[in-house]
Amino acid sequence: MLKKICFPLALCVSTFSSAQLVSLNQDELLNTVGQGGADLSWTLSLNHKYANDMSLKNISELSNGEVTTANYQYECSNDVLCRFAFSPNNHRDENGQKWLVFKQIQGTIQIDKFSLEGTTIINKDKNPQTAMLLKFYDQHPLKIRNLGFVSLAVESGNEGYLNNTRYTTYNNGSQVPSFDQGQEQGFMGLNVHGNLHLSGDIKIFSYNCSGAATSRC
Amino acid sequence: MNKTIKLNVLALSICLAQQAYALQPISDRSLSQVTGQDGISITHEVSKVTIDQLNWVDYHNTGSMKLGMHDVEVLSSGGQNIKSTLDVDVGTTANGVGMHIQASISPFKSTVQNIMLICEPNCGDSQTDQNLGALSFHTISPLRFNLITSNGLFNRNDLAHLDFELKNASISYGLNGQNLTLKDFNFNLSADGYMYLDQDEGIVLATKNSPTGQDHIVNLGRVEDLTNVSDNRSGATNPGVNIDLRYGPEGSQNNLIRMGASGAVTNGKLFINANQAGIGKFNTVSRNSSDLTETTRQAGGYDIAGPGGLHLGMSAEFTREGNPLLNGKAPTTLEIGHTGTGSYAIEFSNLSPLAVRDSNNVDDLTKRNAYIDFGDIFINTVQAKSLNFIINENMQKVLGSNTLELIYNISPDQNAQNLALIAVRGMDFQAIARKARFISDNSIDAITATSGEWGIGIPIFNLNTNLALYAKNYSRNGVDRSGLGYNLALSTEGYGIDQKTGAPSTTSILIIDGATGKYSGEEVNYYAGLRNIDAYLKSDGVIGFEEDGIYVKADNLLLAAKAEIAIGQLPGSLYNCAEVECQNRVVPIDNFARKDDILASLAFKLDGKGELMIIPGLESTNATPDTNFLSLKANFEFNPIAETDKDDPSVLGSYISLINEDRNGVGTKTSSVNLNKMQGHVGLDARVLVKQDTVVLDNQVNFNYKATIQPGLGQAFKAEMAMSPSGTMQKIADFAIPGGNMRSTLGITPR
Repeated sequence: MLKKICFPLALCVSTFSSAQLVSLNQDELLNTVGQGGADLSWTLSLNHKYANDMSLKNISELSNGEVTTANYQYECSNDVLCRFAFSPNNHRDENGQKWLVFKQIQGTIQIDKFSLEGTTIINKDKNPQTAMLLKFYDQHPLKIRNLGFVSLAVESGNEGYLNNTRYTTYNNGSQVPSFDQGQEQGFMGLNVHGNLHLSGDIKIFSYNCSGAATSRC
Repeated sequence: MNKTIKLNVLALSICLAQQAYALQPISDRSLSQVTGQDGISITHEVSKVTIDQLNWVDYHNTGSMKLGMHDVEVLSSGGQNIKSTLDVDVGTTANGVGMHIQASISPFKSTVQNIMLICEPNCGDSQTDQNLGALSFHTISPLRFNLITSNGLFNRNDLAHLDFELKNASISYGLNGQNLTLKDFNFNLSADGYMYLDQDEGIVLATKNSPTGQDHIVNLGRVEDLTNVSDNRSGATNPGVNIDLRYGPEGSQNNLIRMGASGAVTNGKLFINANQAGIGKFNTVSRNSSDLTETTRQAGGYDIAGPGGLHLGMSAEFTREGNPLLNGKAPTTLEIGHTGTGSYAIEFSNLSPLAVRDSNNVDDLTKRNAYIDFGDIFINTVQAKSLNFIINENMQKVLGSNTLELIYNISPDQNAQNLALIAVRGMDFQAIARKARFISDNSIDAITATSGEWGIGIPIFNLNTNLALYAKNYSRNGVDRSGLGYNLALSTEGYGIDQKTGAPSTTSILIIDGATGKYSGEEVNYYAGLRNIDAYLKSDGVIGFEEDGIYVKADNLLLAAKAEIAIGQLPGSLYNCAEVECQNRVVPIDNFARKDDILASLAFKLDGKGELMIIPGLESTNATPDTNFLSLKANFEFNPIAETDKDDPSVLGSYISLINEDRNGVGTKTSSVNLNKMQGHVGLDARVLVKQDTVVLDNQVNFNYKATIQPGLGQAFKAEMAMSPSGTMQKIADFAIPGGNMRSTLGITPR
């Protein structure tokens, strides 16, 4: 379990440390060397068929390069459950806490290969230091499948994230057109579907402050 | 001391005497062949042995309890009588008078119907004798013992040689008709060393001569595998110490996990005595001191152990290539992986301690070995209400405790409870493998690929634990069953200097790059992972054997840890780059005590209750890693937060924290991002698939695993996001995930 936590955290850390990366000159970059290491593949799926059915081995079945069965379709036992709700501090109304609710949140991402290695760099103090080297390959894109949410709504109530409001009628009784009829209420939706080709290396290393009194990092 | 040992010897003698009734007459012809000049030779055959009760009495302050094996039956295996032989010979050696004792027992099967924890005739109110399950022991090869001494039987100065061959045995623990079995259990060793009696240590077997420091080897020889071997293999073997866990009813068992060790180990030591003085002594590293050497602290509450009980210890160092003691023998290899038909595992070699050098001097390559030291193990029967447990300052902070000496209840109510107590103090496993390769089960073809240049390190430092066991009934899915009640407290130390060895030691989970550095010319030893893990686990509940797997229910579960997410090179390695800054520069020997490699620190506390099902992989003749894998199904419910604490940001509840520590030239500033007050139901389905060249971790997280929002049934997963930029916790937002499933499939293919 620790390992599982570690990986997303490590990704987060990479974004934190990017704030004050030491600039490496071209020579230094060329001189870094990778050794052994590991090739990784990763699939992350939320509220899709692949996420629900542990017997599935892949996110899609292919025949002659065509997808014959897609396991990255939304699947949820109850739409009210498949949500993510966020309530910034002190946002309340007369019903209670106000929640920003991402309804029918879902998505699958998959990358067939990226590599993890160690490498040595020379840091700003002219000392050698180890960096984690992540390599991404153009031929192994990040596959993004149906990533997003069906509707985003502001709900209120201490358990506002469970509110089940759907479009039925408007203007005192007129039927909502079939496109939206019965859908969960909200003001926008998002769906991302495609391949993100990445090519290159990311080096992640710890950065220690200069020691100046105002310096935090 | 030694009432207990005497009693043990007495009990053993009685057992042996009971077996002696089946003596055979020797014919005149046979008698004429006995020359009588070379010691004594005893041969003994028996078809069946039954023992009603065999009890071990532990004297303590509140009377005495017994641990007993009841209704024991020993039968022959393979239709022939159990034949045992004993040869004793005495002769003159260069050192004095030596002995040669040789014994063997042909294959047999023994079963213990009931393992009993007996309080009669001193049982208190509502206390009864407890049945802790069944045990069986089965061999298919002869059990052999061979001892040659050079001066007397016990002598700490003169060398002795011991062979102990327990091969292809099967040891099962049973509950409710299901067995947890050590299949193909091997304990096959050939050792040179010293056997002696010591006033403090009791009976001791050691490879090292304490006055001269002369060390010897224990060779854990590989053992021929006699069952389920592929036709394409010849000479298939299992490790000299083989722990291959299977689960299920006898005859149709499925596969859990396999571990093993083979090759030569050195500085081995085994001792056994009855001294209980150390059971309350905890080693700990003070985080408030600049000296990170372990110190010993005495915890209260351990007078319950009384004067009786067992105290034992076992330790050994792992050898690697280049050790002069090896003399042609194979160095140590460790194995871990899945088991059963069609399975794969990983074999580790080039085992070394954390620090590659003994100082920052480039010529000071360490001669230390990686080692395992089980510490001090105490086995007692006790009547206890609560026990004390000492933690370090890091854990104190993570737990939000106001004391370093925790007192926890061991009994579910106010009355003292009768328990079997196993306590371990100061267990260390300081081994980092810098080489590893995938290996296949003997049921399929061997993998011919050479070793990879990667490794794994899961060193453990100063593990302390109390495990209390008792009989407990439970109900699951409307069925009442008998189970094994447990109460466990366990801690590890993140980093410190070991008291015994003086070497820097750590508890970590690391991936190692053990390839030769392009510039440094020796193993580069890059590591990445979680290092310096201070952890504390407290759990109580029941273990039950169910048809679909091993069921562990935690009525209370508290898991807390602090660790550093780090990447760097192991202490004492050479920096690996072309620049002049790197040349012949040694990574500081105290690297793991420094902050240079840390990306961030992680701390968490999970407090609640849960259930865990350990599901073995399915055994079948055409099994593959996709059908035969270990799987864990768990669910967890966080303890609720008190109404009065809900709006107080300083109350953390169950939390996960990502911490950054800065040194600004004056002191250390700590800031963190937190998920606090975690609430609700979470389920987990985790699968570990060990394939031919890849390990796949396939995990499903079920938020609100009951998939309902009906009050009193399912609960959404909720938490509070907070930041602590300057030490004070500030709430940012609440978030909620009412349900749904998330699955992560991570494949790792080392190069």
